[in-house]
Amino acid sequence: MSVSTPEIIRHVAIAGNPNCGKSTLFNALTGMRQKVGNYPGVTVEKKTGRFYGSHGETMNLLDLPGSYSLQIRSPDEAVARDVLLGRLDDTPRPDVIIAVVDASNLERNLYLVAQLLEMKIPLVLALNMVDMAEENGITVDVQALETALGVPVVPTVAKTGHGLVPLRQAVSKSPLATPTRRAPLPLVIEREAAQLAARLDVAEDVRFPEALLLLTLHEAALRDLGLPTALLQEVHAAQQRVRDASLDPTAAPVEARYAWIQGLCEKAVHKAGGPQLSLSDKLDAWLTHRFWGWAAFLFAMALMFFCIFTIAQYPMGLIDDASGALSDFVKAHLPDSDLRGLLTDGIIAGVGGVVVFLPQILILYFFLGILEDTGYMARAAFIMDRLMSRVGLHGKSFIPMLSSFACAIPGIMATRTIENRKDRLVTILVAPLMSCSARLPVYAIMIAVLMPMANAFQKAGVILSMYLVGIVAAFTMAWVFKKGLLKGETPMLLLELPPYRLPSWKTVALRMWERSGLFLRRAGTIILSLSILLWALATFPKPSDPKASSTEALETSAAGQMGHFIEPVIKPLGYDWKIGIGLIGSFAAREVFVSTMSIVYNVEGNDHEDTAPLRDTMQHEKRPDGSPVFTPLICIGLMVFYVLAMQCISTVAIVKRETNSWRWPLFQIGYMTALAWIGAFVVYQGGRLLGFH
Amino acid sequence: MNPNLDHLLVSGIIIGAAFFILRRFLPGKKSSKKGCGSGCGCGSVQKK
Repeated sequence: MSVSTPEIIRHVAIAGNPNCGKSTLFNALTGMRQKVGNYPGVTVEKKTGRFYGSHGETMNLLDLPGSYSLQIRSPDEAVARDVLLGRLDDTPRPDVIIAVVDASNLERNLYLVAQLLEMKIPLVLALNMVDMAEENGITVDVQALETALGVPVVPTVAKTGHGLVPLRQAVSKSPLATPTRRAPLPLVIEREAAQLAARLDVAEDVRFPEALLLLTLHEAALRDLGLPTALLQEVHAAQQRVRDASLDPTAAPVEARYAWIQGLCEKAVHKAGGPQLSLSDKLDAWLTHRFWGWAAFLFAMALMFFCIFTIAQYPMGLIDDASGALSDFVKAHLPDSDLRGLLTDGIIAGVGGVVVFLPQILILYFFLGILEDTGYMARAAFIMDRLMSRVGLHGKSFIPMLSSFACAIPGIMATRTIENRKDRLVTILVAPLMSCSARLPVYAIMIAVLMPMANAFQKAGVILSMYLVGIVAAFTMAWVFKKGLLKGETPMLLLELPPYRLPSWKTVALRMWERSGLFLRRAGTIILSLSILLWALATFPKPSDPKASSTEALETSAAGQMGHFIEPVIKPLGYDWKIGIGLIGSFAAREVFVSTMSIVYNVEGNDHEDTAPLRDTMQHEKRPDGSPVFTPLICIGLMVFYVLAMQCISTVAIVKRETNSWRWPLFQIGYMTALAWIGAFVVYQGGRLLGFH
Repeated sequence: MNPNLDHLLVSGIIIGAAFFILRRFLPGKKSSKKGCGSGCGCGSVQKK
């Protein structure tokens, strides 16, 4: 018996403005779990899935990155235009377009629809988020809109699944009518576009839209296309003829389309009680305020870290106890041997030392999920943009930098929304300076050693300042790069502030579930393997004298020798050779610092069968002269070092792939390590000069 | 525990861990179906 692949009868593309719910609709139709968020720019690549029409027929569904118009520049936006014009070899031109529009912002959203109608592809309009529009006193006359546009209009609420059945029916209809109505353009533009179309060597059905796009492009964008000289001259001549008719070839079609849309909205959209401030507008007056906006941002962050310390301590205590009990169990049931040492001091101490931070990471993702889903993140981007534009960072850099709070990898991938190569490179170079979740264990252990008796407010304050150090460092380095190595103009940010909405608990829970799964998988694979290797390095070669003390044994080991080897370099930072082992051990993944310290101090503590928490061991660690190793200056210096150092081989790999060269990742490792060393040096030596210890 | 068995088990585990790390990070490793391909386990889906 063989199972045949169902025949795809239609290719359907979802297009629309950023943040109008395209990915939510895509997920609702396909049953997939594409990442969605209440801020623009979540989808940077086209995504495909299958869905079934009203009679069970298989259709291919394509989720296109959001764009405001088809005259676009950034790589992610170009994807939408190229797919609709059938320019991509691997993607067929869609048979149907589902144009998703936000019912609350119909006038602006219909601009892209006006251009889509010029494409001559059958189109179904999904009038999305009608519930929110109604809450804002906006009602849309669906019948009037349908008549004016000449295409089926289906009211939907993608989040709840409302309207999906009629939408499927509309898309499944056969045959589907090609739109006959569109915005009337000035006669001279229609005529020139038609003449230019006749000269284009492309498929018949895309000639006119291609010609219209060429005719309305700016000079710089035209040059970037690399058109044949003869064609370029013809475009120039056509544009000149439009200018001779006293029209701007770029602005005139935009004005004509908007005039058409305005007339259409006057008939179909009714606003109750005239223009009034919505709840979102009222909230924004505070949350994007020059002073209160920052206060709210810092409050939100401080609250997040406060909860991370207060709520997480109970489950963390349980995990710590479980790890200690497991270690004791192994010690009780295995004779003293290398295998027992590997299991207890290597695997259980190393992996347990990292897994104990799972509750804190879960709470971090819970808060990040809520901030994203409510729409607050776009406001954070807005208030940050004032700072970012001063240092020359592109406004679109915010989302990549924000994603880097979770992990630098998706952050660096999100830089694809930045059209200018230099701006993109600057963002890639500074994104790993934002504190990712892997730094949390390092901060948490250092804070525990630094201030064991402090309350959650004080701990949250320290961790918040580390996050701020990362942000300031990222902005400063961006300014340095923009002034020197990657000099260039910075375009203005055009950012849409989505309406606030209640978070979808399902989305937040799903994200926490996925991230905790990834964290545990990483602990069970990379951290486990590195812990085993670090234990081996900290144990072998063994000292020739079997009665040697644990410290002597560690010094003789390969890790001890490495620690001693780099000691001259780290001595000015106040670190001893054991911390040096931690720095080397965590070169591939920064959270391994905690595992390494667990292994180093557990290996040392073997004499006393010591299973005391790492924090206590580190607090009581003494230098040969009897002074404590982990003084406040050392703890703060170490945190600053980890804020600024690269210490993540996965990020190196992704930077190599995104920049397509080894030059940039190597430069990044170099500059970040130097920055980390200088930062820790300034903290330690500067602090000592000021009389601290 | 028999010292030879102890030695054998510990060596096996260490070599296994080293092999895993090398396979994960050295160039030439094929990326898994899920993930961005850098070996970070971030889960980001990369389409080429």
